Amino acid sequence: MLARVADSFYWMNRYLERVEHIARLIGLQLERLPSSPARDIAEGWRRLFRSLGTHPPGADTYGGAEDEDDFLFADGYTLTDYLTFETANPNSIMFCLMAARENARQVRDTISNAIWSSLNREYLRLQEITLVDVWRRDPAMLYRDIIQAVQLFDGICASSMRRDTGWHFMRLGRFIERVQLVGSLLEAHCAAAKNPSEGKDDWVGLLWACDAFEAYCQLHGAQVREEKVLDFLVYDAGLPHALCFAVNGIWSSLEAIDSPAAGRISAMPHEMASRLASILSRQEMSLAVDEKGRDVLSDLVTLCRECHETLERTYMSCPTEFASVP
Amino acid sequence: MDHTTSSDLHGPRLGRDDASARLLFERYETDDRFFDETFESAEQPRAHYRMFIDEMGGMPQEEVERLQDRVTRSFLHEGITFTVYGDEASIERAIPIDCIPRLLLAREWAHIERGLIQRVQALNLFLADVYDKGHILRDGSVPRDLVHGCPNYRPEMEGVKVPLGAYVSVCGSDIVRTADGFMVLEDNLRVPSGVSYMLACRDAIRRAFPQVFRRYHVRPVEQYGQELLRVLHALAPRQGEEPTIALLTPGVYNSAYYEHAFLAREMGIELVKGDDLLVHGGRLCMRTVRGLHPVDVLYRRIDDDFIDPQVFRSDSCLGVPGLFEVYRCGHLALANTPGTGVADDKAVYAYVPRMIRYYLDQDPILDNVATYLCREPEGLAYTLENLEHLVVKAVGESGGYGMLVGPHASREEREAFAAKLRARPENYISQPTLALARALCLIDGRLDARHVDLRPFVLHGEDTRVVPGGLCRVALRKGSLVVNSSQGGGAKDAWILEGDEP
Repeated sequence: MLARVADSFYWMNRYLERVEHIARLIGLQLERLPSSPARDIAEGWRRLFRSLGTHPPGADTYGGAEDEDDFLFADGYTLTDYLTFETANPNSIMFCLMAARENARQVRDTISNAIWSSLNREYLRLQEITLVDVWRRDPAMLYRDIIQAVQLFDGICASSMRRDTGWHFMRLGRFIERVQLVGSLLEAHCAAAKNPSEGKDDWVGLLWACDAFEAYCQLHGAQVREEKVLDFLVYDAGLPHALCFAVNGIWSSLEAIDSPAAGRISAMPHEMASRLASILSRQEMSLAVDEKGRDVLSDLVTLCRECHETLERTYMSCPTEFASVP
Repeated sequence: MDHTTSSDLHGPRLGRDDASARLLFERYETDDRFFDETFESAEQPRAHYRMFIDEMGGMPQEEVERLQDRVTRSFLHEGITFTVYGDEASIERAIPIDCIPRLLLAREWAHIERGLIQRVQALNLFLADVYDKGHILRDGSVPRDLVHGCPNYRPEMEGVKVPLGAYVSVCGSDIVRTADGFMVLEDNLRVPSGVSYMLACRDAIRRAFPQVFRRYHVRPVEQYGQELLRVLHALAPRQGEEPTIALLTPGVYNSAYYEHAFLAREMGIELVKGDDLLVHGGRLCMRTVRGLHPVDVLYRRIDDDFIDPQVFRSDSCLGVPGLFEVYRCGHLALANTPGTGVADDKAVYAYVPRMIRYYLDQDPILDNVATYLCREPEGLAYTLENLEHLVVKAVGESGGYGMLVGPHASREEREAFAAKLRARPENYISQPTLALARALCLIDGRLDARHVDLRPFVLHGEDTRVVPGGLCRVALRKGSLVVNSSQGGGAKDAWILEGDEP
């Protein structure tokens, strides 16, 4: 597989993971708009932006915290639009969807028509919608549809693609992005729980944001408890949006791309994956909201970034140090 | 001239539903000046079109109107688009496509096919000759200065061994039809494009008319990818080993990128950009996730000028430094080879019938369009005297640029062009204005006639074959004779029928 093609497979899926994640966060926030008190709504937006590593638009123009609260409460429409359709915002759904589609176009010859057109249709659909069209009816529906479009893409890939190198680079993109997004989201929630002045903790919201609420209830009942939630979202190897699940995915795809039997071109990616896995193997450690737990999360996110850089160096830029003509 | 509308005349003949057939044809006007693919006279459809006209006549009006929308939408979804770059955002548009297929009879096609095979064989022999011994130049059958002075003549190709003598592996020649029959208007021997539109049109139109398509017994075109792969395979320098074949594209911003990706997928070969390639250890290699991997055959879809900055244009960043040296040493095959442009030059074109006689000792099966070379005094004099009837083309231009359409030009425009002609006569040729045939089209929910040409694709390897079909280009603007996509042209499907009776 061409190095550039691997790169596009990888980024296509990083961006799609972002699309799904942002859509879930916005959808969740919008579901709550009609029924929550103003302060919670403002806090919800603040946490959402923080977990994406960014600030609400125009953050530098607020007079103070109260001013910001007012803005965040009053202008859900602007914020939603900014996170959905603003192509100048690299954290918007539209920006990420366009980037995913451009990457798909780069590898148009290696993906099937069905895969391409599931992505292209969603892009064309969103091109024809503006937020005004959906705001008065049921804006959250827009986000359910977007999530479903990404899931349809996943489903077509999962049921039709050969498990070849391209497939595994897609998975790597998915899971590396997931560790970063879910990791940051957990960090943002833990920070809020640590510091109650920033608003009340929202473990139920966190479970929904990780598409894990129903699975949690089936396992633990509807009583949502902080340490169980964290344990579930970090260590549950069977839960698709848990960190452990994603790290296992990274590990197994790396093994498949470059198995020891086939003669590795570099040991680096595997060392990286082992380090990632070892952070999560300390099962006995309780991830209470303390310094230690937060260190684990930030270690994971940092290591994941290094893992990305290693992949880029080893496979996706084909440096001459690995140049050999068979 | 009698411009009788067909709705007055075709009532009872046009199928089950007279009213709707009449409505459908209400804007159709026959015109004696042009060959009409659909009607042999104002009253009478050609026999093989009757079934199609019946089908359309039996179709409820809403369905007729939905046809166009559905076909355009399927093109959008598949990404068969070109990009219009604006000030702020770029817009993607679907290629304009007309839903009504052009129907060609088996005997009409057999004539085109034989003519093209003959032509491409002669053109390859010509290229092999001019880059080697140059017999035809020494004889004076083709002027040496014309060939050597052509900007697309590549002296770098002199003496290079070309496997199978296949300089042109893929050719797309433009066939026009007038009252005098089929003629070749030009050959595209460098990087001919459009074959993906032929295949995409077929896919969409077959689905739009599933019943009538089956009843017509249309010859298939879907095997094009396999046939092309066979040709590329045969070029591999190391026979016996499984060759690595790649298609070289300028990238996603090229207007033909869809086609490049499409063909690479159809053939299951790698789609590469210049950045993906480098020369290493005397071989052309691609950068893969597991290191470098050598390439044996490159189907390149970028112009000669850009393939190797060390040999051709030094400012090119689309190609690969050192590629030509690998090629010259025989470690790489290229399709088409560099330097084929000398044989599709607009002035050299005039000599193709002579090449056919020279190399094959046969009469040309397909005629050329009469061409006057302004580099010759008689040609210049004739052109200047008849400017108002002629189309004058600059030799080095393509895509309908730099030309004068005499009958449509003002007196001032003609005089200005005459001055350019006198200043640089060798840069121009002229041809009579062609009365291009008109074919049935669906325009704004009504059937109408528009001018068309046809670009079939010829593949030349161990043998020469033409896939039965082609990109039928259509001038969608009423009365326009210009079919180029850059000038408002669209595409339509061409159905080559198995027999002469539907």
